[in-house]
Amino acid sequence: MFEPNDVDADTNNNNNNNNSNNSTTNNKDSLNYFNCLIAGALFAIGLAISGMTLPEKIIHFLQLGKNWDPSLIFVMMGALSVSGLGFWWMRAYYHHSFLPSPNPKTPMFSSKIHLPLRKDIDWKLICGAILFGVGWALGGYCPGPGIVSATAGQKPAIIFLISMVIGMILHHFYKQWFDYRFSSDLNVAVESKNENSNSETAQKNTDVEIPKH
Amino acid sequence: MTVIKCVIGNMATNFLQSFLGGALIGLSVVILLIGSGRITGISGILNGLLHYHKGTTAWRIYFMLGLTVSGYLLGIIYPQAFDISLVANLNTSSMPTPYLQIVIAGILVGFGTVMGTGCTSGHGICGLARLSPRSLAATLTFMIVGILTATWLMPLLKKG
Repeated sequence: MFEPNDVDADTNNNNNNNNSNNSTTNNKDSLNYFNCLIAGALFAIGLAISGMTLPEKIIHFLQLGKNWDPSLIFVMMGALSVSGLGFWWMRAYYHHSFLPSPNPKTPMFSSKIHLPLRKDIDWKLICGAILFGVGWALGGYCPGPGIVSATAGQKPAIIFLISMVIGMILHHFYKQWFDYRFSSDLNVAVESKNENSNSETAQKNTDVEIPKH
Repeated sequence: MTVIKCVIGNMATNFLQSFLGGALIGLSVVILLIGSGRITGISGILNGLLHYHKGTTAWRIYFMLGLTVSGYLLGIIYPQAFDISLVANLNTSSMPTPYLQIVIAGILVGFGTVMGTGCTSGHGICGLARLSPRSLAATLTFMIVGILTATWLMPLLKKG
């Protein structure tokens, strides 16, 4: 999923001093990119330590019977406990009526937080999850471990990664065809034929505006 | 008795390692969220790179750079994490997966994660941590389907 062009929400400083704002924005951008780099690195290390980069471990978890390996449960428990705290602290959780209304905090190196806000459980979600589940069991890789194992030099992972990118591209063609074929709104149908954009998703995946404190 | 203690001790160490690895994954999610305000969904990040959209491409490239460079270095210094033949205590009697099966698996994963707007990191970790109903539905679906596929379909494929 991708977002439309984001407007920088923090525009108060632009009128005062352009020079200092430019350098501040550049510094912030660099820190932001460095932060993404670190996050990616830690993600890969976490995958490796937890053993999720071994497809046999995944298949031994999914294949119930003898040799059952429950490791993935422990990985999820570890990941969810840390990230749960993080989403709670950032107030970035999905809003339910029994929770205090979230007002997400501004990230440290970015002026905007990007959270998916879709609430509907549609057939595309379920069908996609079904296809993903079958592929995950057949290969033992999901996208993250696939990428990390491929760069570590594992031939099956490299084949998996190339096939996965092909699968993603295939979906874009499928979606163009599907929207054109089944869309009742002619404008949406024409749009999806002309550009490779996802106007439907663009409307639903909105970015959360951080109100000024 | 000591054999049982050894076995349980080994299992406990393995599960602790899995938990700590998971905690590190969780830490990386938190760092990307608090620092950059983004959800760590690998399929979403990769899918976003297939189109160019000004403002959303650069951070994805840096994240992927961290992921891939770390992967490359880990392949050198910690190859046991990737190659099952280097890990002695995991017993596997199955032959390596045929390439055709991996290709089909890859295409299904690529197609399915874009259609379902997420994978195990996006829906499974971030979505569940955020208490998102969409992610709960997706995670339950792919977990159950994965278990059914591995438990029933794959032994059938092996026989045939």
